[in-house]
Amino acid sequence: MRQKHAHWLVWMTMLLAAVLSLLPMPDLISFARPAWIPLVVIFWILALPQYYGLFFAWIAGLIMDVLYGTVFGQNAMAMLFMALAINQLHRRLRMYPWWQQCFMVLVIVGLYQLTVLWIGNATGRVNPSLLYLLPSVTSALLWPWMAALLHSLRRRFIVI
Amino acid sequence: MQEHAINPIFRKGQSLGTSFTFLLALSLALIFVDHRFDSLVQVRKALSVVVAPIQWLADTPARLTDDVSLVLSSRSELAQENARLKARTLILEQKVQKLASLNAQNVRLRELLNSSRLVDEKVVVAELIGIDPDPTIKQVLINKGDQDGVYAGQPLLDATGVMGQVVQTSPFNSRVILITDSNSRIPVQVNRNGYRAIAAGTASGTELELLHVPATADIQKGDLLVTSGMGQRFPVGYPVAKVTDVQKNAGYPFLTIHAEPLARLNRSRLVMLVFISEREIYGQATPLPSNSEDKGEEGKSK
Repeated sequence: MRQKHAHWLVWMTMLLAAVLSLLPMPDLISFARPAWIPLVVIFWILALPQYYGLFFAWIAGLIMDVLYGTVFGQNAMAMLFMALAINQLHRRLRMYPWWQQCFMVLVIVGLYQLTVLWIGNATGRVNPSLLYLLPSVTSALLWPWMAALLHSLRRRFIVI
Repeated sequence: MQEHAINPIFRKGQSLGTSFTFLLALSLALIFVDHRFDSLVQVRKALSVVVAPIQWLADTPARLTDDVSLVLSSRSELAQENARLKARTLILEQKVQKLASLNAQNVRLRELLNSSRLVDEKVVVAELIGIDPDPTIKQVLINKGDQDGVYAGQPLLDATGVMGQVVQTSPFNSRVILITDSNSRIPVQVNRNGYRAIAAGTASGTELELLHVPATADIQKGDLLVTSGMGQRFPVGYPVAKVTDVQKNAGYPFLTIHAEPLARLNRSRLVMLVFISEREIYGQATPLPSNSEDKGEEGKSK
């Protein structure tokens, strides 16, 4: 009964998110750039908690550290906190209506951004403003559409 | 979400806390080690090679628009551009002619003064392939790395001025901190009178600020700031910035001086890496080489 796992879809979406997070943008837009990789990680942890959990998020965070040239462990630790929150909440989160999910995404991506900001400050990469939390707002606004798209992809390629 | 009926919901649970604690400790250790020591540089280099394709993909739209505009440009446009470039080459060549005689004169004068000769630096052209996605951090990626001899601390220029210096290298690309990043400092001097200062990047990321300049210093609006060569990282004499405003603050010992970088930090795609010969760095202390050797070296350096 169980299908072959089409988990390449997970890695493809992760790759796409990584590219989107690196695309050069004008300054004003990149202040509001959604946290693409955390969003996709949230979706897959929520959808397949039995396969993707803390370790998956942590590795994704390490790769982000290399991509952005930040201190090793900065994004990894932030992603770890985020993954723990999602993992603990996933049964409830799935039941929530979309607007409540948006709110939770706002809080959880905000948690991620704050962790990155704290470690960044502690290690000397200065991030002086609260504008740094803007991505969590745009991520929350983006969440329903992205979740719908990834759901349809998941159904089409039968990733279970 | 409920299309899969029999998923082992309770498989995890007890191991979650352990793996979280373990990964958290590992992250903290990584942060500490990477921040304090250089021991993870090789790991980062290896991983950089792995993620290089992602960076290449992210750069694709910019590269494609360049290519497409090249394909779509008409013949007359190309001819126009060609004519413009030819005219520019002529002007530059005329300047170089003058430069040769000035250079020779400079060498002779320096010999008279018994001071060491300035050597021309070798320059390699690199291409910008990415910018830091965090807008508060002014760092860029260039497409030259260890394989091309790039080293950390190497200066980067564009056609109009100093852009920054290399901070991380990997085999195929390297990361450069621009002079406007709030963590960047560059030693400069006023071209008009040789007054030395340190130019720091600001939080805005678009301009420079001169640090700790006393209120009596002779710096005016419009002054050209060039690299001073102090700190032995940037070679002497490259233009850095133009002073845009000087404020005297009554009651404070220092002036507030802002300067606008001359390099087109947001627009240049082609940049130049400067390779400084060993002699230039340590040359100030070494005695003047003999005349014949001098000429030979001069020929090579041009």
